[in-house]
Amino acid sequence: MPDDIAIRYAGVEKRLGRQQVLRGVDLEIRRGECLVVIGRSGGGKSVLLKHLIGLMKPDAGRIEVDGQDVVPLSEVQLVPIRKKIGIVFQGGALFDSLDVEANLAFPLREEKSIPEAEIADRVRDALDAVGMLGHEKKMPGELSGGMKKRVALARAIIRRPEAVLYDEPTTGLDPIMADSIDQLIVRTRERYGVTSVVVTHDMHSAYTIAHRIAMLHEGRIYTVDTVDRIRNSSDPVIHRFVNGISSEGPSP
Amino acid sequence: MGRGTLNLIRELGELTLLGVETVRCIFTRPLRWNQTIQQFYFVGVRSLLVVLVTGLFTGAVFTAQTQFHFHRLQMDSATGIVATLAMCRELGPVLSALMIAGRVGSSMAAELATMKTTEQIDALRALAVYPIEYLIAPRFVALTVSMPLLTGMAIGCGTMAGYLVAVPLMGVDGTYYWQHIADNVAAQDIFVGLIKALFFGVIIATVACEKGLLAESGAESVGRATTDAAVNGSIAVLISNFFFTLVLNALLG
Repeated sequence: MPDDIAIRYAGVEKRLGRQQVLRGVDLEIRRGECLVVIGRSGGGKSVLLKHLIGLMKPDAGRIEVDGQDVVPLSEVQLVPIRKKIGIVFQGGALFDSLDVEANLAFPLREEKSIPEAEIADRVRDALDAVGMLGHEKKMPGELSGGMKKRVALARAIIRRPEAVLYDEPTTGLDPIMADSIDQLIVRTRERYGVTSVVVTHDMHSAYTIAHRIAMLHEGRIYTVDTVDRIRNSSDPVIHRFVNGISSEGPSP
Repeated sequence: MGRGTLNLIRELGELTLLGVETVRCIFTRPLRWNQTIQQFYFVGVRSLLVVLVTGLFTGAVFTAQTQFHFHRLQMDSATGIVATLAMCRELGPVLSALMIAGRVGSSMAAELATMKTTEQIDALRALAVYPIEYLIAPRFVALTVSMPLLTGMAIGCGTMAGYLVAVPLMGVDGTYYWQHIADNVAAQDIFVGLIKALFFGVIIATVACEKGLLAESGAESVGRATTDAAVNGSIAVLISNFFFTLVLNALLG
């Protein structure tokens, strides 16, 4: 695993309304690795991802992508960063008014320089990669939750990004479908060599796909460690979370 | 200062920012023709029937009511003038705008709010597409251009309906009816109505888009955005109309 850093958070703070969601996040993500961020629901995991591509701006701190601080960039200046990083939103966020094919072609057509024949080829490749060939003409409303996530993943990788962010990719899916999405995340990383950042509270999924696991706790990164060390951790905060023990339960 | 006042000021600020940004975008970035034409179809063509019916029956009832009273005062000859002037300067633009605020403004807000809560607007930005350019500018252009066209047709329908009510139905002399209108209603009366309509288009589009874009997550907020777009849009039309009347009368007579 190469050790150079693709993404770096340094002292990132964010307040949403009355809640201080991030209280100084420091995190480094290596090129080509799959880092899984775990933490309680509503704990700011999605917020962390959205900051990376400038969908949200932090109140303080730096966020570097390939050494460049993205915090001060305007919408126009963010365009090259956003082309380097694909994101799979929690609900898929497919465009309702476009069918599957048009959803995938959308980012390519926005480039304005790619011929339609090449777009058609790349759409087919991306659909093939996520096992959704044959569903080109369906509208997002006709797809199940798992299928939406597959199409969303295909859309995220169609511009051949260097990194892909996944916001709760297995939430709301049955265990079989969740596992198939996990496999897809692994295959995507292997096939395209993308850096993957996955935000989840599904520990089964985290153990399956992660190289390293970071735990976001009370607005800070509590720990970053390998899968085995997290799984066998005796630290009470980590132990409770990964084993799903509420504070009302018995102590470890 | 009360909380309501603060909210109102913040709201007006948001509206101004969005309006300015949208206009800037229209003049500095290429217009998305596909989206704009779709919106023209939705805003203009699909609203035609509603607006024509509004114009037709407003013109008919206003002429009838005027004629009832003017006939008693033996002022039959003024009925056409009053009805036509009212149709051109006030009833045509305002009632058309109210119908459009209800029909188009609310559905625009609902669509945008749904896109916001399902992260589709974030997805657009993540795919390096500027939402103002892709979503807002086409809606703004379509509504601003469609409003005067629709209002013109409403005014035409209302005037025709007024004639049909006054002359065949209530026995006013047809030749005099038209002659009095031709002598007393000038092109600038229609112009005042169309200018108002243009600004109502701007107001309805801005209110609807702001309500949609600022929606928070959840089904409830989509509902609230929808209602607010229709109600606030209508209120803004009614209030601004009073000031447009004063200003346009001073400028154009």
